[in-house]
Amino acid sequence: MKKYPSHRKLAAFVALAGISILGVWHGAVEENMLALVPKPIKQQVSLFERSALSQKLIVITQAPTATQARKIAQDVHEKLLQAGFIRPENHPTETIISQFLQALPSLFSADAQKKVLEKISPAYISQQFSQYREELFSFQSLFIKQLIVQDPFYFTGIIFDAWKNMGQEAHADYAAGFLTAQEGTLLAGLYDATSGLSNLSAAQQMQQFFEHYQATLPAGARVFFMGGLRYTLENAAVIKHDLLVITGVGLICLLGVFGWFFRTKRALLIYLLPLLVLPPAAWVTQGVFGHISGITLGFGSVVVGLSVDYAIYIYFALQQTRLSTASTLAHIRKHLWCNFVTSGLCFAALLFSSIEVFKQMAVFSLVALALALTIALWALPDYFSQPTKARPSLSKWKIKPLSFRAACGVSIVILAAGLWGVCHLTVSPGLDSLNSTSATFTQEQQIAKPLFGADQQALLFALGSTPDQALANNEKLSARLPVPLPVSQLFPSKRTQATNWQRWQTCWDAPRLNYAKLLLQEEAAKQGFNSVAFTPFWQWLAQSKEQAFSTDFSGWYNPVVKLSPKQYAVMNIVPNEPAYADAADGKDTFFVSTLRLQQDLSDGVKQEAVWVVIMALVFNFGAVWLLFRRVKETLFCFIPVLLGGCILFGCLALFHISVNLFGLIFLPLLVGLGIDYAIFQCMKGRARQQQLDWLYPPQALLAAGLSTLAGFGVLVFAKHAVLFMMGLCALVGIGGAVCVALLILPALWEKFA
Amino acid sequence: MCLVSSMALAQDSEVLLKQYAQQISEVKTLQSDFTEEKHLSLLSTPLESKGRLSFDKTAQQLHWQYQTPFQKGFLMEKEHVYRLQGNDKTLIQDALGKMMAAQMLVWLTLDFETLQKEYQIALNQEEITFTPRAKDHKVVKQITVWLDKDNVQQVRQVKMEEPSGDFVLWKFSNTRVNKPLGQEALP
Repeated sequence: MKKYPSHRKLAAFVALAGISILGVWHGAVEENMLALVPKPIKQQVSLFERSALSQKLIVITQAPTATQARKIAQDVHEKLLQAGFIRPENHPTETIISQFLQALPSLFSADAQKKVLEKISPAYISQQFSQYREELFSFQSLFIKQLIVQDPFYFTGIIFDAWKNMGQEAHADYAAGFLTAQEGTLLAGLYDATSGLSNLSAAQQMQQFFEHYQATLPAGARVFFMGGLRYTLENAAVIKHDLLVITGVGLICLLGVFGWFFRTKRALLIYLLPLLVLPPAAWVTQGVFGHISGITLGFGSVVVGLSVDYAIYIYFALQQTRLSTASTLAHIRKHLWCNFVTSGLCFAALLFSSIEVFKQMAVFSLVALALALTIALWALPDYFSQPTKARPSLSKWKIKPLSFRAACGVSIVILAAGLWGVCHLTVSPGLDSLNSTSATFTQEQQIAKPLFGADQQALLFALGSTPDQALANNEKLSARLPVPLPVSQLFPSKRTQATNWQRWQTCWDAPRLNYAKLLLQEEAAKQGFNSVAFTPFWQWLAQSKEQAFSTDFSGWYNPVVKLSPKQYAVMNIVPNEPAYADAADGKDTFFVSTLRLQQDLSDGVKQEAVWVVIMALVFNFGAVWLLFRRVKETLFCFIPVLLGGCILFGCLALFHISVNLFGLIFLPLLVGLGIDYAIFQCMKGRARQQQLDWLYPPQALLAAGLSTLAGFGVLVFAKHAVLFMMGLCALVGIGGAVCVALLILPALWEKFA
Repeated sequence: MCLVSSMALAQDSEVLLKQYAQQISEVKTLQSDFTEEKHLSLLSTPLESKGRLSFDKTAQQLHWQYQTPFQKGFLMEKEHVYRLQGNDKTLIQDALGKMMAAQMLVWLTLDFETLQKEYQIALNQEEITFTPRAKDHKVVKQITVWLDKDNVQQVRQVKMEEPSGDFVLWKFSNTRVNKPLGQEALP
């Protein structure tokens, strides 16, 4: 106890970490795309995510011939039903005519009235009866005669046409239960899965089913599934892969850094630090936001790299035991605080973003860094000040900075490469960059693309606090459009249904009823029909005037989506045209198209990134100026940031790597970390005047930089697009900043400072 | 005594049915003219149409062609069913059309094994009556098939009665069994 008086302090932090792990374990870890988008377009993404189509299980079939494709698609459908993966479809039954007739009065809009009146004419009824007579000769006559008896004027044709219009508006080629493309060789079946869309076990069973089924197919044929269940499967697979690979590779890299620089039992405490600070940080974040994102946890690897820096600097300083522990700490405390402030300010800048995950990362990192600094300054020095047999050998790995001339030359080349990179940089605005999906999935998405014509379609939503209010708003929206929305015709609000019924009653006054009867009698006699046969039709007409029936086709297709207990949306699939975009007011009605959403997302994230970077730069400039009180030294600290950024942009452009939008979030971190390395060199330069530059050995900076890369850079092995991009930027950007700080900065300091 | 005799009668019918089934199963090709009479309460006079039927069991092809008053029909080729209208041939993709064509095949080959699952079968000489086992069958009340006295491989007449009282009567003539079919028979 006497030897290591900080045991109790350390034990307290271990206990805190243990409690936090339990807290996080019992809390919610959520992977939600909405947490990744800027606030202004959250509504659009939310609507897009919950559209009726996204709730379906989509089974794609591709085969060399249309006949093969159809046969396979039908077989898969039957087998999915038999296996209980999907619910039987609610097909229109033989009572469809009765159902449509019953619905007609409540769907009797002014437009429907016009169509009905056109049908009550000698020319129409003559043509209709000729057609009926011909159809009675066919082998389908059994079913046709039901229609003739129940609906001699074929009023139900108005409803059949409205349903047909729904498909046309969607630009969908729908035949015999499948969406078709590429001359029938590509089919999509849309089904309701029996399990929840986020049920991982169901998604895995479904995957097994498709793998077995695929094995039975002939060459050239392919079957796979898309939709919510597939995303669940993909995300789970990627998270599992990322956790295993990142943890494994990260540990190996950290072990490498440890073996290279430390090789003492006590130095192991440096790498114990992340284990002590990450659980409490995650717990606090979970407490603040109610849940924590998987991406924020993945971001923990960044904090691993940063949190060990403080301990590394203290370790190296104390191992050069020329001063007492207290005296050494007093000298480097300023540097550590400054490091904490600059990194912390960069994370604090993320709090100004409207993207929830960024805010989570900010809280998570600030808590972790504050704890890391506390432990490094308060608990660890007692351990590190003890003499060890295996001291870090500083002379073995001497780092020789460049000469002034070489430093200037390299800096100019890097600046030019950076400028060229910025001009040639490509940014990927795709929504897919927010999802963690495999290469196979991306390939299959490409196969399925022609079926959905995503570029031609858009979604138009009408919102309301109740389903009926959403339907009413949809009617208002429809009235603003040049062509009425088919959904508003087939799914009217209760109020409109009542108005329609009144219109129906008024329409069928005695003179019109008598005229219709006369027309039918005359034509029936002419075509050899028995006029008594139409009694069911007249009975229905009389009844429909007396009693109102509500319409509900939601068993076949439900356009109403529940967004929250107090918010509902009616979804319309519309052409991606300006008339529809202009009709949406952005308050009760929203227009969402993939192209527009991608553009808005791209603009939103860029705006956020620029804002956050500016904030980080301003905050850091202020902090560094307060530290040095000299503009020259303050500007000097931004050199690794500038050159590190140039190396990053130059490499991205050179290797044609398209920057995922969330790679931009790396920029403020580059600012914070790059400045830290520069501060280290400036502090060393200043300490040299007091002959205390041994407190800042370049190996300390290298060990800190490599630890950061070992923690942060391993994200490059992640499959999740967001984490991968962060890892790539870290590896190149921070790696560049470390090299600049070690090789270029000393030469420039010598000359200018 | 009565029970014994009715049991004996049932056994005789079963034996006879098996004999018929055996003989009908030997039909490989068939071609026949038909007259279809639809007696519908909807119409004051029955509808009469005429046409030709061709069937090739090995190729799994069935061609049902109306010739008067309209040139219509359907063609079944293995699992595919086409609607014929004049010179047009359209693949039927709806389940209803396929179901009807499949039923037609069962009836044409008088596949007793399949039919027994859905119908009670009664035999009176060459007259076979099929009554749906389901009491509330919406489409069929009874189907009666008359086989040719001299050659049970040939169906003479079929009557399908509906619960509504409507019925359809098919009369077959010029039937040729197991004779080569011409190109025009199966387009």
